[in-house]
Amino acid sequence: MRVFLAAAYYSYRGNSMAWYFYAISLFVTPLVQPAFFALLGTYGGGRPLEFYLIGNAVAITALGAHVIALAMNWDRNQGMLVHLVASPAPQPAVFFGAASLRILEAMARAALALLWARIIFGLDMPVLSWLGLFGCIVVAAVAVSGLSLLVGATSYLALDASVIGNVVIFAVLFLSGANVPLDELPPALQLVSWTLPLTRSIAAARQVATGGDLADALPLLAGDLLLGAVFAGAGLLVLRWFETQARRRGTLEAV
Amino acid sequence: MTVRYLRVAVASAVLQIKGLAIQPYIVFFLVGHPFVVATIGFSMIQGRNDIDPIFVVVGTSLTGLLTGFVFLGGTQLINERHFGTLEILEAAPAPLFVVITGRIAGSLGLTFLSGIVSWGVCAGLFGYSVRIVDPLGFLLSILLAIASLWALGMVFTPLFFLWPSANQVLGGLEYPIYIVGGFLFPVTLLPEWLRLAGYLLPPYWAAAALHGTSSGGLDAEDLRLAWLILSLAALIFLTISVTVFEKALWHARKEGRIGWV
Repeated sequence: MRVFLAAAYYSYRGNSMAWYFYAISLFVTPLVQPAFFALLGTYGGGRPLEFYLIGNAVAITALGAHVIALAMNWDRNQGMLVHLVASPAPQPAVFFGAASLRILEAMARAALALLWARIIFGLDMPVLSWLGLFGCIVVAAVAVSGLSLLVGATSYLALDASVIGNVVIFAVLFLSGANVPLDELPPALQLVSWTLPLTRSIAAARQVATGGDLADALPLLAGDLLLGAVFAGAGLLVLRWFETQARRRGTLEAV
Repeated sequence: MTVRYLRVAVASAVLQIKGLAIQPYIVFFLVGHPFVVATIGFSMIQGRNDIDPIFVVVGTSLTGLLTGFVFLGGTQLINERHFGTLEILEAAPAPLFVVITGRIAGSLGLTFLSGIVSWGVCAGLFGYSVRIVDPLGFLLSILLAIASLWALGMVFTPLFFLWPSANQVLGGLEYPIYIVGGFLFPVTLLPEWLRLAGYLLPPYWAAAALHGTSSGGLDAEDLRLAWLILSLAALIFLTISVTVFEKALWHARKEGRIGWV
């Protein structure tokens, strides 16, 4: 726990952005990205505005949780990965710790996206729906961070794992149903969609937003949590295996 | 003098292309990002006969063009700074402005990848056949769009001398510009006050000229107005950038911030 907290604190403190730029980024990004896709959907798509606003607000968590993979890649580029591997501190605690405050920030950004949707686009829902939506955001962030650990593990072997991470994140954004309804995707891609974290959280969020009972959405949320846990478990196994490979090939320090 | 500067700019442009082409992260943003935006865009308009697919092709290409011109030049400056070579570059006899001019111009070749990707998604994945209504007008619009976006990129570049976080902030401007520029949807969807912000920026007029000449729907008078504004914007932004660049560089030298990371 001490390692986890120290990694969280120092990782967040290492943010090089000036506070005013950081504040702009924190408040503006949750507005503009969902707004862009919501307007695009309103113009070209066949669903109501709420469909795109809610889908993209929940999808924002993917960008934040993705930071685990980015942090691991950053450690490698800065020459710190070799020290982390050599240190006695458990690596999952270090990597999850380093990402923990970012994941919380991602949840805050998603919540802000919903707030902007309320203020700018007049998204209107009962109070209970808002609470349910925040629950969906938390589940989405946790589930995506499991996948992010799996992607981050590739940092041990790939020279630019952030590209792999971005490919996965963009795939998640496209296939999760945030912008394109799942029933409009080809059947093969629909199958892929259901193997990704976020898809169920977005579906649950839409159920809750339209006045559905949170209890009805719980199986979807539980599914995403389970999927996130599976990805995280696979990530830890792959991390161990890649570490062995990287030691054997001497690629741990390659940048 | 001019020939010498031209040689420096060309060498800088070639180096820029080589430098960008070997960075998977940059190539991803020039290929992967337009691929996803185009795929989402075409998936959305499937079955909509009232939307010309060329609108999505042009809009997606513009997102890549904007990234290339406005942001990649500065990103390379950040890299120079991290590698510790920016101070050396500034101390070299070749004017830094000319070097950066070449760098931003060098991004052009790679940013065209986004257009090719978008076209490929349109024709290859979704089977649309696309046709440009006014090819000559489209070509002129491309040239003017490039000139004005390059000049806009040169205005942003001095920020990279002053703030290490400038790339993150400018990166955050991408979506707002996509929105007010009307790249992938008409600005008539926006409130009036937000449309005014778009009218002040070259990306809006570039999008208007390119959409107008590719899919039609823009009369000759409006098209000439767009071309005139793009030409004026290129001149005005280039004039501003020369002045601001020198001042920012002087400021950065005075405060010892050129190599600041």
